[in-house]
Amino acid sequence: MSDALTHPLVRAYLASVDRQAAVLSDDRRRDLLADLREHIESVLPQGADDAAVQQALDQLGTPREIAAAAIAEEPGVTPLQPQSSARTTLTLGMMVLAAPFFEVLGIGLVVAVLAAVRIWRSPAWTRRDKRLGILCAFSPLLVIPAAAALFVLAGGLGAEELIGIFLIAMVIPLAGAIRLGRSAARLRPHAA
Amino acid sequence: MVAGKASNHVEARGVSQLRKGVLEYCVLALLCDRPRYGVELLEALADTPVMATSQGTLYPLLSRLRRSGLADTYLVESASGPSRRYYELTDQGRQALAEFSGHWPGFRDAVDRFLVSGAES
Repeated sequence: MSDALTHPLVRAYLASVDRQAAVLSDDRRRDLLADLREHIESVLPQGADDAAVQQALDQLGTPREIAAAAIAEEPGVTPLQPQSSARTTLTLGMMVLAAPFFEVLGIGLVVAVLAAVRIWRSPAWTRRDKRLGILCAFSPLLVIPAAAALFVLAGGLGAEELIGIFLIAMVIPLAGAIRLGRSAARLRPHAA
Repeated sequence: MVAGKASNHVEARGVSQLRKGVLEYCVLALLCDRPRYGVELLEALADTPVMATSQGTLYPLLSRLRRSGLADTYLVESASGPSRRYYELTDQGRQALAEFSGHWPGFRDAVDRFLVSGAES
């Protein structure tokens, strides 16, 4: 094991390739990273200085370029595309704000369905992120009845408990929204 | 400076499309006489500037050649460093190379003919 692979520049580089190639299957991404690791190990002598490491990485190409080449080799896989932060905020905001209103005339459910459609159709997320986001958006369907049952068992369901339930219902969608918001933000050009 | 960069970029786009089409056959041809490892292939390609790519983009291509059965790989321990993954042509790879080699002269001549008659008219 050469210490080239533990160099901070190399680690950041490989992590960036991994992120940019997130649409690929796990197998494909593992193969790609293994090839790049092997390449870096064989071109960099032990204890190479920062300049030498940077030069080797520059010759290798940008993470975006390599990920794009790998994605282009996979029929049916389309690269992730950044979307504007306004669109992302609207989608994720719908997902979180729908949560407390699931039991109110079904308004929350309609908004959650719309949010799920927006997540599914967006080019900014991997399939895994999309599945996770949609599960989080619909989580109040289970969480609200479960929390209500607990409060009833604990002795009563008043106005304060109802507000508590609505806040609890927002926790999972909020966590999902934070995660999806981060992956969407990474795609925007300034975060290359 | 900026303008020069931009026109280089446009020129590079046409060249890169062309390279994309022929690169895999150049790699197969490099493997024709003997197995080689990744860095060795990159060095051989870099000798011909028009075929030189960002090094990292070769690996997805090599991975596809292996998956589609045109090349096989095996690891060889190296005394001086990490073990090396060698790529070797399969029968199917030889066949694909032979087929492309058969089409190429006609293709090259046709393009030359259009370019020359285009330049004359």
